[in-house]
Amino acid sequence: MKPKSILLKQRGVLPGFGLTMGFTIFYLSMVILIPISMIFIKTASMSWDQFVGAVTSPRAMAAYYLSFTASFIAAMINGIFGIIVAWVLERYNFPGKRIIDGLLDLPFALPTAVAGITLTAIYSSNGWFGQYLEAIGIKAAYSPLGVVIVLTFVGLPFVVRTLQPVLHDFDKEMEDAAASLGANRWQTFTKVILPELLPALLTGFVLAFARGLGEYGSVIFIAGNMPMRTEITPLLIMIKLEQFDYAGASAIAAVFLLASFTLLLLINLLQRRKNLVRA
Amino acid sequence: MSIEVANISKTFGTFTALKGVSITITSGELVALLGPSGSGKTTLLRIIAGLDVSDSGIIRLDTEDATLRSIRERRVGFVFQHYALFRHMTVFQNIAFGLQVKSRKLRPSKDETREKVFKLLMLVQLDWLADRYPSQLSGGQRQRIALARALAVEPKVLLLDEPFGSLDAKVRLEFATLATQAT
Amino acid sequence: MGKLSMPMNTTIAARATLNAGIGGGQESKLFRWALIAIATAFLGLFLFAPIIAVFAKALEKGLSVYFSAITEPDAQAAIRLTILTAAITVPLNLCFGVAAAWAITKFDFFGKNLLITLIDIPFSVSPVISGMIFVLLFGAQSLLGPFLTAHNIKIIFAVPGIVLATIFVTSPFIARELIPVMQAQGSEEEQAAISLGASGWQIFWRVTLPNIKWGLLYGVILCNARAMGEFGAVSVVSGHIRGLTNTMPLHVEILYNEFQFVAAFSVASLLTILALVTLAAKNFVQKKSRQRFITSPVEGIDYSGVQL
Repeated sequence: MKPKSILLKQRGVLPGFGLTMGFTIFYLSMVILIPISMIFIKTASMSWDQFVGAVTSPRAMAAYYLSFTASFIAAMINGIFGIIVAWVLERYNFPGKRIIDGLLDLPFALPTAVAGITLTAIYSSNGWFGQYLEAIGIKAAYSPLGVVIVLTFVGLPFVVRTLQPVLHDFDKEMEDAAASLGANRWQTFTKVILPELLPALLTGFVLAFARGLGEYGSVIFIAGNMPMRTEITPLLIMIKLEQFDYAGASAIAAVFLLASFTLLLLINLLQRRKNLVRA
Repeated sequence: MSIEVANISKTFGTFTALKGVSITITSGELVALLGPSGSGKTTLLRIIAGLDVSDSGIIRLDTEDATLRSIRERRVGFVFQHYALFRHMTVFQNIAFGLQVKSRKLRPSKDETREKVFKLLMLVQLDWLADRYPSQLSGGQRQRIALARALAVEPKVLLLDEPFGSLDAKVRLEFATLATQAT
Repeated sequence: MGKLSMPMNTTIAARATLNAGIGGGQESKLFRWALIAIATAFLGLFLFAPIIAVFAKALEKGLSVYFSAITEPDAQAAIRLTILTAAITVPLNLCFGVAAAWAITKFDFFGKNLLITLIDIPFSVSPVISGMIFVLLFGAQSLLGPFLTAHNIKIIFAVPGIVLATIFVTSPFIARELIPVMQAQGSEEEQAAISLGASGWQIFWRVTLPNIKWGLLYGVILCNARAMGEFGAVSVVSGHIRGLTNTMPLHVEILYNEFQFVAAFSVASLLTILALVTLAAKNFVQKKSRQRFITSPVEGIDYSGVQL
């Protein structure tokens, strides 16, 4: 039992540490930690060969490939257009700007199933946009392209919202300085503004990417879910569960979790780098 | 209340704020700690009040060892450097706070509270600000309200951290006079 | 002499062009409107179109069909289950969020960063996995399975499972909102309160709570939106039993898969209205508190994989 003086020093003077910390740890364990550990416990019950077999089966590999590339492309699209949207919202005034800014968080607030059926309806061959795409031979729904479209919707706010504060606090005097030194607008943008935006842009990109990887509800409607072609990783896990292949599902889930945690670490690192540079 | 500080030391990480500091203050004395910024004045005050715990040494209040006693038990009034007024309460509610959180047995009635608060407000000459919020007050006014608030619970000793920090010369003089009167 | 004779209107026009953008924009007007057009087109394609589409499709066959779709018994059961789930989830996560934020922001202890990271876990986990872990924990094949079956306690493929999965998925929201707010506000007011003799509960109710009320409300709004809209995790644990274990999002899926498109969009429109109300409430709270709260990734916050 530590002497009271040490306890006081560690915990400070305000009351309630025991109660809040105790409840927090209890809740955390019950709701988050124990359930999550089940994945690894289940995976541990497999032999190494079984594990590798489940995780590297052709179907699984195809699923990883689709999840990865679709999320990547969607994140890139959001990166490019995200800069434009953020710039337009922070720098210009035009009618409807406030409404757009408010609506930007819609992909966060809208249930994925709703997004799924709606985007499918719009982009299927007789849909509003789908019919025009059909006409030029592009199949949007029930193809990897559909997955990209949905993931773009889902990741839309990430880049914009990360960039907005940075643009908002941007020191415009730097731009004036560049102009006074003879730089034209494009040069100022690429040499002065863009480098400042890069850390936030990167963070937003990785976040959109990570989100796209795990997305389920909105993708399953538009993808068509054909194994080896348009089956995303979360769906594969779902199917294995329905077939009671809990071990196989856990194996893939474990790999997926590791990938997510790595991305989380990456984001943390990026944030820390950003803060160091700022200071 | 007499205060005896015996050989107090406190380090924050690699920074030594206090090393072997000893002071004795007799009951009723008015003492000012002077020193350049970073010399440990705030740290010492907080340790005496019970807001921080020293690494070594003893604090005696009225000759009793109070080193491990909680701040609530010490009956020490504290006026913070940045006032720490409750931003969502009016001036009146700020000052009444200490009275309202007392246990039911010791709590004064509404009328008694009102009387006490206004007495204090008149002492600091700000009775006309009773319904304002801290954000609507100047630095000097906040200072005085913080003092009134600390006095409301009749502490045995009053500690003031950097009381002249953000005040101009005229307000400083007024406040110093006030503080002396209040004791 | 020549310089002084510059026509006045040119000077004014030149100045106007320079000042036209907010905050020092010096791009030409044409370029500016081109950018706005591109941004609007992009957003139109990906943001506005879906909102309009939901309502257009829901009302395709007229109002009476719309109303019968949302008053139909299974739909009503789904609505009730969704509300029930949120009603249990939000208060529980509220307690957790407040406790965690208090512990983290008012005290210094070893492992604080680890705790914050652990609280973030549900954010980085795919919904399917979020549901799956409860199947592994309480399902028929799990360690607890035989015990639960013997006592006729149904968790998976029943309402408790749905509630648990939803709690998991939404648990970080309120803590996440409160921690930065409370960190920014510091502990001085609480320390002043304790120096005046207040007890722990008195400090919390009288001093802390009024200061954090907007951040708290914001977190509750987000938590509720997500609790009502969660699909993936609930899909895994629910069993899809019509009228019993279907929430609104699941009901939408079932209707859609049965090609009852108008009905599906009708129920979906209710969820969309909820989403729009959530956005409005968010904006209201932000305006009232004059702060910008975290919805999406900002400095120091990681939101990998946040989904509904």
